[in-house]
Amino acid sequence: MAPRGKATSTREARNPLGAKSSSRGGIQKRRGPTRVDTDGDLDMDGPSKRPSRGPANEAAGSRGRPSGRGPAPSRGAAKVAQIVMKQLGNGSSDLASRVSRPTRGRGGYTEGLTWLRVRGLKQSKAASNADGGLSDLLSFMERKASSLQSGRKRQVTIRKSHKAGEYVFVGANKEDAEELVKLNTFTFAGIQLEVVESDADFEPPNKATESPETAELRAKLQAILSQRYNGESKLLKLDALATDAELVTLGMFETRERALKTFKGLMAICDGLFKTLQEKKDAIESISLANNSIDNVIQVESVATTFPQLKNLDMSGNLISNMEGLQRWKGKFKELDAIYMTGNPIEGTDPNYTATFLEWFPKLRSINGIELRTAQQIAEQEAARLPKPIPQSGPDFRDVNGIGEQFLLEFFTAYDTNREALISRLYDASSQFSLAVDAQSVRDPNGPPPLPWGAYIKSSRNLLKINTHHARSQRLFKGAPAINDLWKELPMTKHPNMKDELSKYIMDCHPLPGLADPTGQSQFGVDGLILAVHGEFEEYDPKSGTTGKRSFSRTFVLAPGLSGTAQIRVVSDMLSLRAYSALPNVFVAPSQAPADTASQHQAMVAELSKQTGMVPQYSEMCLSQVEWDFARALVIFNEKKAELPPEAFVSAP
Amino acid sequence: MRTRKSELPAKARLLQQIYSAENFVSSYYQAINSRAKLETFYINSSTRYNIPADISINGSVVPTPAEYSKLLETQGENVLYEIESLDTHIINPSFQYGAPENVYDSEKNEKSGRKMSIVVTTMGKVRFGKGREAPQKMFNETFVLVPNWDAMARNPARGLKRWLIMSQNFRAL
Repeated sequence: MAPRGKATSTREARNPLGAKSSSRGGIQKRRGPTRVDTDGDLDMDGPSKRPSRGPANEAAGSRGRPSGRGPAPSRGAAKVAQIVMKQLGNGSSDLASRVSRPTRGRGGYTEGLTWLRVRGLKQSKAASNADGGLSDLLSFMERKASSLQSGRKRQVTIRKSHKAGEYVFVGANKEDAEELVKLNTFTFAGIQLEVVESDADFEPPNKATESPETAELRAKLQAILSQRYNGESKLLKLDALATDAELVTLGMFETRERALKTFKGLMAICDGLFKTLQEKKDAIESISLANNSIDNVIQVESVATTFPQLKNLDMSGNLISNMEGLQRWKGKFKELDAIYMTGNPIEGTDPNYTATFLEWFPKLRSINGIELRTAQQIAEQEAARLPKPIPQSGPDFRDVNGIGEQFLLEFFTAYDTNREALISRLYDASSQFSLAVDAQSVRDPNGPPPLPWGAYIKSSRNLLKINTHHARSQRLFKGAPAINDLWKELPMTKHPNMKDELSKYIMDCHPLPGLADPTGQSQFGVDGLILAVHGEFEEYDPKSGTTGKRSFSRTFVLAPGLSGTAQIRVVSDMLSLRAYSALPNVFVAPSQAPADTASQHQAMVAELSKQTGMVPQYSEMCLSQVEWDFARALVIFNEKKAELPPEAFVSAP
Repeated sequence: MRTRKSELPAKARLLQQIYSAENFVSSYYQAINSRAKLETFYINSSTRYNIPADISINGSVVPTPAEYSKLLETQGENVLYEIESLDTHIINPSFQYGAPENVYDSEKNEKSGRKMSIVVTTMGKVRFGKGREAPQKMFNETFVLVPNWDAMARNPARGLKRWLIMSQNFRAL
């Protein structure tokens, strides 16, 4: 509240319209005493909180405050404020323009609003709309929140809103705010919204309507921040705040509670100056919090939330005495490179905090100026944390009498050239076939565009997509005639020749017991094979005239053929289709092999020399001729022993 | 109407089969994603089956479900399996391997589709790490499921799976 005698001008300035018009020139034009309320708290709450504090303010006003209490406003401070904005905001943050930006007030009803913080508009597709998508976002939120309510539907209304950097702040009455907050994680214009209740104490001020006193104080704090910022070293020095003459004059550190609020306020101002995380990261790499009597980092937690990408942090000369006082930093500062903790009691009480820090901060290199791990070690540790797929091996082909191999070699050629003959040879009345389309599969971004699914989709039996009993049973094709009818309709295909282009396939084959015995002779069933084949084929669809590649996986259950017919029959044939994407080549040795192979080879050379008496060079020659098959190397050695020259041996045999 | 009546067992079997396959895959992949124990999904956990499940992962035979769990763990944190397609066929409508006499004799069990063996194929993605930019790979997996005879007993132990894996083949693609 203004000191007596300036009441008139203050009242004028408080008039929202007046505030708006006078703000055109930016905050630096504002003159008036710094506004502190009864208890001297910095009023950064904006007008929304004022009604509840009204009486207190009145009391303060009537009691009066010595006009010398707040420092006189000066043009100097205002200039510094401009510098702050330039420095901290990279020149792109124009506070003045934000101040003059009209808000979407509705009916001017702002009492007792609950504020929510919404993130996502800037990243959404709506951001390119005329007003940055704000009105679209607000009507989306109102509409969604209204329709979400169960039972009696009530129109949810957003009373106030304003944009601040990454965020949009919306104010609504308590009842509506409870509905609105349910929209957290909802998708708006292609982006997932974050809707959380805003910190009531430091609801980032609605600049268009904030009081001139608040604006003035804001400018002062900004000035202080700018003096404490070194643009060259990207360092923000927030050390020994309690001894800062200006802050002390402002009464900002009179009580512990007020000091905490001031600190949060400073962070809120910092945050408001940057439009993006990147801007913030570029402007401030280091922060000093030295000599602030901090005994628990809770007191400065906003540093971690405001500057998650901070590189260097000076905490020296504080009062941290145990791990509990550091707990709130766990999981924060993912980019922190160096931290200083000297002069805290914890150095004596729990010197092992350093190990915990190395665990908490994945990129932390040094503590108190001592390098504890190198950048390379950090990179290695990071690599070790990355997920690693289960390694691939070649075919697990546990065939019986070559039946599986024979089946595969003839199947795909026959499927490409004469499906009817294939069916009459291997399929019978109880054979089943179905196909399933996965239209969402991962594919090579550099590959050709995926083929359309039209030819398959109407027979796809992907049970995650097909839910009716009718379709599920209609799309299971049972018996040779039904399968034949379907296969006539499916596009023509050309599979790679398995013998020539083996690496375009992956195939596994295992024995499978317990198959039905149609002869009824074996009560517990007969043994068969289960095969899983993965590969690709070229397709020609005469109906649409399209050609191209698809990838497939196909599972066959094979059983012994009935007497008098073929050797085997297909019990089940399941085809899974996806967009084309080249298979991993499982026929080459896995990538980590070379080192292992080399040492393995060395061991084999030594062993062969030992067993044969050959010199290592000859052992190696011998082994490499037989592709490092030790047993064969011995056989060859014994066959050719007589022909070998004397120098092949360490000593004459 | 008479013809419909004779189709009833077939329809019941189909319903039971698809229901079983859906239930199985959702609880199995959930167990994989949450690193839960896998033993109870396999015939290795039943005394009725005197053979272990045949588990083949990326071309290597894995001797036990516990070994598979270990292998999954070596992949590291935040590896997520998501399926995008599912299909199933009946392999043997009257599966008898390891069946106790009383179950084998019960015609009801056969009609309702509780005595069959089925083959289930899935296709989907493995996501390595969190977020949209995380690398992902396709996979295809085939299971042969057989009845858990213990779950059909008069007073079965709680929490028994109705179907058990007899054969499994996984390939990252």
